[in-house]
Amino acid sequence: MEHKPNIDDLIKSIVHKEGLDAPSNGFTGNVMGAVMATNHKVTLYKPLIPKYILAGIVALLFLVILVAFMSGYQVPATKIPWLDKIANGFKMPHFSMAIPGEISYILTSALILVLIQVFVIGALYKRMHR
Amino acid sequence: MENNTDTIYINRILDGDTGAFKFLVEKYQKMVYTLALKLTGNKEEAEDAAQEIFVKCYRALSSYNNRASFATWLYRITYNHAIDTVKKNNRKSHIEKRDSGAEQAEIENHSFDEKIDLKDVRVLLKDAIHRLSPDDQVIVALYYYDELPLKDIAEIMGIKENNVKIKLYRIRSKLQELLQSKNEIISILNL
Repeated sequence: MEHKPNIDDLIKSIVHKEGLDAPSNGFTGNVMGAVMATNHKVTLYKPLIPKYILAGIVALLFLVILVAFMSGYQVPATKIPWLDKIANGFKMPHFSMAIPGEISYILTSALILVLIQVFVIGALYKRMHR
Repeated sequence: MENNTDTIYINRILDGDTGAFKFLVEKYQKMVYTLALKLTGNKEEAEDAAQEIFVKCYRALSSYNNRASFATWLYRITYNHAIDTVKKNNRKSHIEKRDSGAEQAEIENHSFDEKIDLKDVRVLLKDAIHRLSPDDQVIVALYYYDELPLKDIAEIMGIKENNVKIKLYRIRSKLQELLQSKNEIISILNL
């Protein structure tokens, strides 16, 4: 890819000397008129609680529930029997289900393939709608 | 610095100050119009397209993230919109319609009829740039005028950076070839 060094400078100087084309005089006014006429207020959506705080809250709740189940914690009895029933009704089940190795391999492979496809289709979609 | 100023105005618009958009229109209207003109080949169509591009840009401003510079983002909208306009009108760009044989004859006549000097070479090169394909003209404008990096040009045109490199190489080769033939003519006449 060898070139005489002056070609870039020459093109650059020609392009700069020629300048850019300019639209008609009233262009800015027309655009601003069209923008105002759209009656569309551009505002950036700013959530009151940032995403990372929400994620933290959800993770914390999940952790608390998980620890409560694992430790067999009993909620103190209240005077409302149905609430006690709900609060202490859930017990950590003891799983004794045996999944054959082949099935777990198949499921894992399928999951990996789906994830790959999500990325591939996502990239394709982005390219089509750029 | 450039980007900082854009960001300040973008934030003002997002805060509800629609009038701040005027700054961006005035700053970028020439390049947007030039790109649209190079791709559509029609002044009226290019002006309409440029207007639509700015309105589109305004409406989509909340989705602009600072991943790319505002200019790159706006030029990408410009490029896609102008391409769509050409497709919608179901025609090829004016430059592609031209007969390349006639162009060559025109260039050659120009070379022999007039006094040959550097100024003449510039005119010839300018003509040659105007005769490049619309896509190549867009690359010339973005690379040589706006001095955008190849990565940004690739982003604007939706192609790979390597493809931009190859296209630039071809553009240079084409123009270099033209210059070399011109130099040969000059040296023959000087003898």
